[in-house]
Amino acid sequence: MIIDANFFLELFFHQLGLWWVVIPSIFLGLIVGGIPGFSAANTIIVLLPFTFLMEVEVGLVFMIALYCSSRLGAGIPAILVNIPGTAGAAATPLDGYPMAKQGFGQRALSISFVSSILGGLLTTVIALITMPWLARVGFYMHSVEMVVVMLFGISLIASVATKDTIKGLIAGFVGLMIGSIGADHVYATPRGTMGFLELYDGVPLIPALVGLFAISEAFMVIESGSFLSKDRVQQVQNASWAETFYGVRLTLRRWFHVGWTSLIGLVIGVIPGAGAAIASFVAYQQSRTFSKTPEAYGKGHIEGLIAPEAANNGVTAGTLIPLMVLGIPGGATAAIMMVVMQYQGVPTGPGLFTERPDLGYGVFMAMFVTYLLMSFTILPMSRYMSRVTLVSTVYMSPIIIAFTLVGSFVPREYMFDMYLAFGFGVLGYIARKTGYHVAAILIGVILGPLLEQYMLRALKMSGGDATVLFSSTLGNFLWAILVATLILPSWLNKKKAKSEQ
Amino acid sequence: MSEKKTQKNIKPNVLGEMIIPLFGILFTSYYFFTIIDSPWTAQVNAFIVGSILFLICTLFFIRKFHAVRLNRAVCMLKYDRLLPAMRTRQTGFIILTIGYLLFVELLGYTLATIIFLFSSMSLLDSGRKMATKFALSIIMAGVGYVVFILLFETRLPEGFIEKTLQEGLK
Repeated sequence: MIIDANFFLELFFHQLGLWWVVIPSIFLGLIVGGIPGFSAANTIIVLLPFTFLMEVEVGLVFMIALYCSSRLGAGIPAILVNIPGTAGAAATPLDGYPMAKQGFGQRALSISFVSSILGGLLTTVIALITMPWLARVGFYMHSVEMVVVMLFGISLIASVATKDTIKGLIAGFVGLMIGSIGADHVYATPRGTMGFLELYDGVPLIPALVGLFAISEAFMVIESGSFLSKDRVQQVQNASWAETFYGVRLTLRRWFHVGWTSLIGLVIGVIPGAGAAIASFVAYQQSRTFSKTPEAYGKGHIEGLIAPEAANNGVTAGTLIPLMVLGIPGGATAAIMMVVMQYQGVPTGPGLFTERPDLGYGVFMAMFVTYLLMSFTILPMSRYMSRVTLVSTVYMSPIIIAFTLVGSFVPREYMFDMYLAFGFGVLGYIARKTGYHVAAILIGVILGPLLEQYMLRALKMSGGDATVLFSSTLGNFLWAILVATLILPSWLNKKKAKSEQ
Repeated sequence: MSEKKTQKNIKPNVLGEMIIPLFGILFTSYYFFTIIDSPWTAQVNAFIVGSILFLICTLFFIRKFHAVRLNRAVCMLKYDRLLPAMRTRQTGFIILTIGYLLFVELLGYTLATIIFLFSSMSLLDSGRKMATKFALSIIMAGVGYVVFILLFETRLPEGFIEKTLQEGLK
């Protein structure tokens, strides 16, 4: 088979012909992405018997469409009611929710959708072109380099705490300590588990996410009685289609920002074990670092919303590259896809592109088609979705609590996880009431165990020699970038202030 | 005199701000206690992170202590504000949430959710539009039953309603 422009054009129209699978999967993905606890991975597991019955090509298209749209769906409740559907959308409410609270929910959704779709389209094209080279990124990223990548994400703690750095650091380090709960990675010694067997695997992410964001938010909004102030209510009620198009224009004007933040997602997605949460935190941190208006981040900054959304959709293409090219799944959903492909007798790895190029390239083309169809199906919904913010908290708060508590139960099916989510809810509520940022706690809980895991691996391999962290060329290069991104902004600000004086 | 009183009211109370750092210190101390005899691989991360947390909290306490000493802030448990706060709808809602968690296993997901939704909506809205709230509670719990139990086969706690519905569906 000749792989040329005609081949890709045929493949595109062939995948477009499967719209009857893609469109329902997009809507299913939006729902499962939006409910905390559900994800594309566990939905595909539930529907696995159906995928075995489908033709392999149709099954793969179904899984891809579900995967892409669930990423996008996770951002919707994050923007409207401050509840990220998955950990990958945990950085989205930092600027998305303040926008919704200012009465710009429709615009925020539109920005989120366009940046997700553009990010997804761009990274899919780049993945198609650079697959053989990108697949090798995983080989160069060892534990030492990953320690620095994690520190990129963790340094966001200092960024979100611009009002009071010391409080931000306390929240972040409390999060890191909570994230250290569980058996240690080498000898499985239980640490800080308080005797709960359910915590031996570490703190589960969904109860932490649900508690810190959703439950604490439900307790908070009761005080005000509404998500919006009276004048903002009027603003949302009067919003027209123009608001959606304005959001589209605002995002398209920032095409370069969408491009480079989605590339961060693509590269991080290629690294096995790294995921959308890391990508979105790193992209947000980098976006803020290089912004001309970093002080506006956290208050409803457009680029602060674009960065995590473009990055977490860039991850989708990235996680599939190691699976397709090397036969190594880059994430949970990719691993399930591998099971389906193996069951259907389709090879993964280099053999896929020689034996079944229509499937190998077809997966990425299906992703491209999904993102394309999403722009027609999801974007018009932003006007109606934003009306959620008009619903009285009298109804919303109990519904949020009931649904998200169940969401925290779903992944492991332990009642303990519901109690844990409530515990995190109380912690988040106290933190908010006393001026601590819950996002800083969550960053610690998510990235803390990963940082420990990579750091221990590096130290173990070097026999406990800490200088190993500065032993690789790529690692040192990343260290230099990290230090530069931390120091440069304040240095530039000082320089600017001096020149203004 | 009244001006003095107003000034005193304006001063921030730092006691609330101490809760998170105190929690951090107590939890870190407990964590250190659990790893004291563990191999170095289990200790290294916690000792680094925990020590930094201790240091930051100490700096925070010094800063707050300094503010109190200079009379820029107060540190007191305000019983007069705490007790009325305990009687708010918010506190009632938190208590209802705890009740939901305690009774969901006993009553089953659907019944417990209906009771929780109805009681908390009624509490937050001072008992207005009761019929609407009751209908909404049943609809939302029903949606939850269809999505979580029927569609995704989640093993949520089962009670009288789930068992009856399962029998009916069979």
